Amino acid sequence: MKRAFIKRSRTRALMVVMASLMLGAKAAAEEKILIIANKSVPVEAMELEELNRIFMLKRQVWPDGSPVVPVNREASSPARRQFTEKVLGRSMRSLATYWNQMQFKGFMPPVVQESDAAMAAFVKNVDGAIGYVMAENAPEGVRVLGEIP
Amino acid sequence: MGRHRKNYPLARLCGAAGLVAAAWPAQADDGYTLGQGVRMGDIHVSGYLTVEAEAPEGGDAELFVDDLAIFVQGRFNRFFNPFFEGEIAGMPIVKENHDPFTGRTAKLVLERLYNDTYLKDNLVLRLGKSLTPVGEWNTIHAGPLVPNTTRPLTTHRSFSEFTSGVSLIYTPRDEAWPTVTAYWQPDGGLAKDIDAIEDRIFHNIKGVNLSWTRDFENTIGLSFQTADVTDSSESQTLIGADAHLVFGPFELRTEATQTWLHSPKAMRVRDSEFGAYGQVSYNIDERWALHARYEYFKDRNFAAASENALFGFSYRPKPPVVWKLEYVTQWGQELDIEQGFKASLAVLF
Repeated sequence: MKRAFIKRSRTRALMVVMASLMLGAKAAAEEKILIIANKSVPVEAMELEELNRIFMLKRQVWPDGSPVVPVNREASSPARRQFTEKVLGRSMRSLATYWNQMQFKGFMPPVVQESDAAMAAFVKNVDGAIGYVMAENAPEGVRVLGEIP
Repeated sequence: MGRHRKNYPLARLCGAAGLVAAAWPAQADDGYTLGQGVRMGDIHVSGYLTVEAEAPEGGDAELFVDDLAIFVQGRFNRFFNPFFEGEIAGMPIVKENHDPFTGRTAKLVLERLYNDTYLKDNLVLRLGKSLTPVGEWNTIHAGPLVPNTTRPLTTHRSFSEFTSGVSLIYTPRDEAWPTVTAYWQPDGGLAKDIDAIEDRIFHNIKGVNLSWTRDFENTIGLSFQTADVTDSSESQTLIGADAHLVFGPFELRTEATQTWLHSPKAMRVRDSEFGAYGQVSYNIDERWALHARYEYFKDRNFAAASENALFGFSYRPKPPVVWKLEYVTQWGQELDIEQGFKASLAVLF
């Protein structure tokens, strides 16, 4: 009887630990995203709607006339998945199709960078660049335009 | 030539195209991703390839490169944003009853060459040769972007596919308002359009296109254009409407144009031209789709109308790559469309 209780207790404890790990993983996976831009960008903050227009290539120049250079993460990255869900609101596949059409129409699709570090370096060094990183990897030398919860 | 020989060329040709596709890497070791082009600072280079196989009834089966196009675009500042597209069109590979690499003559074509100046963040001044904004199909006509290998007559036969001149493009912030493109080609084209139909070379082209987009997928367009027919006293006025609407797994594409000819030649059968097509696609999943289309076209030069119907499917293993197979039947006046099977592989790179 006691043995059975201990076994049940261990099972419960294991379930609690697993649930905690799963919740923790989920929380980590849905961490905040920072919107970052090159310091040359003449904007202090960015609304989600305007960010959407930039990544859908509807806005091509900053208020001072310099080109907007949107920067994306690679398709398999969790940051890209979160950004796509929260800002663009469409499937990755339909976005790829859309950007292919826009490329044919003469609009440059977003540049792809394959890590937060690469994203931060690109945004820091390229005039007009705007991208995003996970909040835990907040870089220096860029302008933070906002945070996506 | 036995009947069996007639039945196999398409399969053989598709097999050859398959080998080409299989050899194409989806992602190279240096981080290049198919469909995204290559960026070198402010310059972006990309392009597409379309390989077609056709087996027209009563004609010779053929495999050929329909288009090998390269785009080079630059983003430098508000004033200097050039775009160039050059292509090699119609490269022969294999044709029944012909030696390899014969049967048609490849042509080098300047498709587009223009510069965009951003007058405001949503107002662009475009100077140069660009695609005429009459209907969605003409503005995205590359093989990897359109659903079928066979292009509807309505999407190109009544107007110049290209305009060399000046365009003003206004993109409103509010989706309720349309994107407006107004354009004017004062003289002849910047380069010869190799697909232009004889007696349909135009100049003094003026037009406007209104295009409403909803959720980036659904579009409805209206077009108006006037043009003079070169080497003739004729002129024409065109109106058009097109739509691309998505209803769950179904997609509807349609376009209609009506053209009126002024001071028509005495030999004309009629002083107008009308075309319309409707196409339904059923997306089985993200990769496979079935397509059915019907088109009616009443040409300015022929008494009988031309009708055609298409049934086919497409397989898109990834967004920049698409395989297509279709059967087209046509009746009435024969124009650009041949009855028979067509297949293609199109890759955006």
